[in-house]
Amino acid sequence: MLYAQKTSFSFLGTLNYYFGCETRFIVAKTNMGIWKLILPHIFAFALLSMLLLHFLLFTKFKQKAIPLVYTLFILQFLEIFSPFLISKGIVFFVIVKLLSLILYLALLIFVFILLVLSMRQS
Amino acid sequence: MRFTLIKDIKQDPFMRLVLSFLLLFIFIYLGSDLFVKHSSFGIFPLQISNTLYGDTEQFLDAISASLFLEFWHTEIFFCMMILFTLSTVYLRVSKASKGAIILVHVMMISAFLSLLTLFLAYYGSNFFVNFYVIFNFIWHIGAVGSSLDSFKRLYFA
Repeated sequence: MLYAQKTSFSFLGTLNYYFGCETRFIVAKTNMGIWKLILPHIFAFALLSMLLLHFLLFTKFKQKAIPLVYTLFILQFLEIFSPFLISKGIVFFVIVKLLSLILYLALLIFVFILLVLSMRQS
Repeated sequence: MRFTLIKDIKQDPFMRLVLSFLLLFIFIYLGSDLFVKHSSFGIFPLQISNTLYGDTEQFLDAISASLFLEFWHTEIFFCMMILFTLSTVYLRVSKASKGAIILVHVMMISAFLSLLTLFLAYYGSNFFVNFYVIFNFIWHIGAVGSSLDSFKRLYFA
């Protein structure tokens, strides 16, 4: 909700958020501004992923979940660090940022569903 | 954290992978934390004194009490979360060896003292700034060391 409020979950909204927009009084983000913004996310995302994923260890999905671990952490990395490339003017990374966030959230929900399913089966 | 119940984490490829990624992100966090602090709050005594008390010659204002308390309470939370998570992983992969227990004690005590001395530096005297710098570096170096050692123990021990 917070992200949607700031960027409206759109290509243009995300671009404006990092590049700044005079009409909406948004100041362009500097490299240091981005560092300050992502710092708490680096740890919070890692902890969230680890906490949720490690419960899979106690389910029957454990062996099939290794590609899921790679995907989740790579998406997390792209989501966190893509703003640096957006601020350098590589507009393609706006798409990377949005897609990685959406896929990351979808995978978190997927892991959650797997956990609930395995709980119900046991 | 239920992973503490697993008999041998190193023999479990799934858990080893999850912990490796967690340690990697903690490692990035610790480096970024020093980098961000260096260019904002400061990590050396002179920078920190300028931030806390201001400097008339450089026309720098002192940090306001509300901003300081906001910074301090965020620091408490992240220190606590990083150290508890990291020490859980470290003690588990090192099988609570004597060296690991000592390092975790040093990290915890120095992190606590760094937070205490930061508070005393703002509300007490400039004298505590040096102690804050020392304790802050000790717990950061300890945390980097224990995350690297955990990596080593996960893959090479």
